[in-house]
Amino acid sequence: MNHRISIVVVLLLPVLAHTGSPSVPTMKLVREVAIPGDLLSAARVPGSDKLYVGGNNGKLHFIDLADAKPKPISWDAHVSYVSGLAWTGKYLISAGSDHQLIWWDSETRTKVRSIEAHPKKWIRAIALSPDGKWLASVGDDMICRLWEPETGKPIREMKGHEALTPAGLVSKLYACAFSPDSKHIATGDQIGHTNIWETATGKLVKKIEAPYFYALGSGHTAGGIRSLAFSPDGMLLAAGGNVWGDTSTIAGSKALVQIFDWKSGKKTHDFQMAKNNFIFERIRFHPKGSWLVAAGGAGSGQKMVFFDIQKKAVLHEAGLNTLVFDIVLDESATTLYGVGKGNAFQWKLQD
Amino acid sequence: MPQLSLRSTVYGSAEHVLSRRAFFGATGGALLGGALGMNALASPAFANQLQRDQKRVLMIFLNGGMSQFESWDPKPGRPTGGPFLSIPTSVPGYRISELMPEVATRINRYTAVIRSLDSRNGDHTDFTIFGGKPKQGPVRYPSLGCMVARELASPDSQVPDHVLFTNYLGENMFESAGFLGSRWNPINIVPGQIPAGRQPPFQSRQPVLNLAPPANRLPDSLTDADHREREALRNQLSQRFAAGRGRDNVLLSHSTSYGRVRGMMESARLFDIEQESATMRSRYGSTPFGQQALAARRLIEAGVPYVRVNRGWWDHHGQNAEFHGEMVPELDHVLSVLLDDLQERGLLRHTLVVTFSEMGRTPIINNNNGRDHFPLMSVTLSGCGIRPGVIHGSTNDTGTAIATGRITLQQFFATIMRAVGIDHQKEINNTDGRPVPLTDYGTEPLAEVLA
Repeated sequence: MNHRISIVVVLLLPVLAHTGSPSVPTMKLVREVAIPGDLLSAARVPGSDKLYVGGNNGKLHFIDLADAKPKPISWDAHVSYVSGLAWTGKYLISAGSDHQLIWWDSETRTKVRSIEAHPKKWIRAIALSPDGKWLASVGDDMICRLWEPETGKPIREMKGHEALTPAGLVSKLYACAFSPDSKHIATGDQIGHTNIWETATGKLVKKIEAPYFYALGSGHTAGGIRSLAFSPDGMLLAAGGNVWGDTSTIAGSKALVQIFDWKSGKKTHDFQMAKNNFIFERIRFHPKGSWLVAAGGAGSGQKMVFFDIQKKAVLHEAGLNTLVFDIVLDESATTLYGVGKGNAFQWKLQD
Repeated sequence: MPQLSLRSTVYGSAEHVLSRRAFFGATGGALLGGALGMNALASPAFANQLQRDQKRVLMIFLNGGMSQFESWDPKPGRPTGGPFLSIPTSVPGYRISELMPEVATRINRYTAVIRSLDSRNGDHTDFTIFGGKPKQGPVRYPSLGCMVARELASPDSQVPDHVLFTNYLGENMFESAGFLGSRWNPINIVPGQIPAGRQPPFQSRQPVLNLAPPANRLPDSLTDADHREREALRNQLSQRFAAGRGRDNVLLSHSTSYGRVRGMMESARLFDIEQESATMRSRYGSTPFGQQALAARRLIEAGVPYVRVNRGWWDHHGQNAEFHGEMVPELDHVLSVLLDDLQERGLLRHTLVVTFSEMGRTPIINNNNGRDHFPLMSVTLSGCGIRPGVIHGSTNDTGTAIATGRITLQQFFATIMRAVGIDHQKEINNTDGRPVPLTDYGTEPLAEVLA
């Protein structure tokens, strides 16, 4: 395989003039590695520049971006899309649209076990709890399942999302995220409903209906909550995706982030991108909660957008030359990793 | 309650001999009298009568162009395959998308699949339903539905010959009778309007579903007696005008269209799915497409020779997997229920159910996670005149080209016609008196799929 490797010396992306806290981060692309296919998911080995990447060709890739000439190690993993990855230390766990959760030995990269976690349904996302005790998976059966990350033992199922959209068509459960204290897990679906569950009991503790992610009137039901993230203090819950709309049939619609005080259910932030039709495929909070970054996936909006949580404003929009489907921040938010259409990226962030 | 006219037959049972004319005479009278006469639709006697009568076609047309990859011709694990897997079907060796588990179990009983139709069309036009023929110009060719409706219609029918249930999204690719005369144009039933003020959020609003033609009832300002008197006068004047003018399709269409208004009005309950049991309505599902399919079945059962149900909008240049992920399961369910229902009523062997698309979709998945327009498509034929379980043609391993069994639109049309007993080479004189065949001279139907 011909892996194109380029090191970009300096690329300062467009920055909007904002003053006050937080300062506007600049993104400097320091590494870009070509990997064939659409790269849909990523997991980082903590404290390193090592990434596991999952593609739409069913392959998994390992790459160490600290190497002078990073060369991906690739292997066949799933029959179709690799939609989610989690790294436990001992295992890499991958999820696919082929309904499978697969545990891989992180040293040997050999398959340890495979479970049809959501029978006959696309697994849309997985998440590992911050305390490492839980693995959550969500799929198009509209169920959130909890697993023991080390053994693969099923713990419980959480059901509460509507199976059908108001149009009477099958719905999708796209996203899940744990709270920082691992006590709660949020799940988000196609019609903009987010459920917050108590991890230890499976009890549904809050249901939030996020507007704009879905509408019936167009006859099409594109949209949906594609990504969720709790703020570091656990008080806010952000939902990313796109606004419903006819344009989704053509090019995606306007990217959307909404943030909620999840305990009250009150919406605190509403960011709709005015230009471009695209989808925020992944959102991540700064470790201190000062900003939130959202990556634009499918559509014409090839950009990374930083939002000032305090000022409820866009910090800056960084144009990209490709689509990005997943992003990972390091512990100090000084490095941002991304994967997209045929490339893995590493950016340095500077306040 | 109205008394249905029955007569004895070789079947020996009076309930087996209900004639359609008698049926509509009775039910029409009942309707005019305000009583319910349509329970006879559920009668096996009525179904048996229809079995001896005409054959019919029920077309499910997929506006915007459904993807063959997410339905009849999946390529899982290939770069062009998309996220969905394939599943085995009741036909050994043939696999379809996992989005179609209900149809998968029925193919060996009902359906022939053609994976190699080269439509030569990659745009939003009505090219496919006109078989690639021009609807404008020196010869205004008719569309498929108009041709089939004309050939299958009964002269004394009191029900419509051609009905089209449109969808409320996208372009509907309407039928047009061309030189056949407007008599064979369909009654277009628009399901409803999208609510005004399309600003989000309005999550609970449903389009208002309409399953009946807009003019099947008299306006309040016109009594039934007035309407009959006007019709008698119009008929008298028309006959005087037509006298000595010879046979003219346009003139004939004009006259017969008026003449059929009464029959239409009196068969209004055909369109009313509330006449079906709650169980049956539930079986078809709550979506507009499901309800339209149920209404279509009622029309087929009553003897309407050509009914088309449009389902759209499949034009998924963006988010193809997401849209197909919700629309293909609906098609899977509605098509399966429809076939079962027709079979249970003894109608399927006289009814050809077709799935046809505006076009196919590209193997390449674009930057919007969509698929674009592609001329190659998969189509299906179920029921009347079809050898079930035949899988005709194939594409290569990435779906970029036809590997075997390429057929044309004209061949597809000829196959449909032959399946329901129409001579596809029959010549009809156009407005200039020129004989024009239903399908191009020399076109051969696809014998492999015909029973």
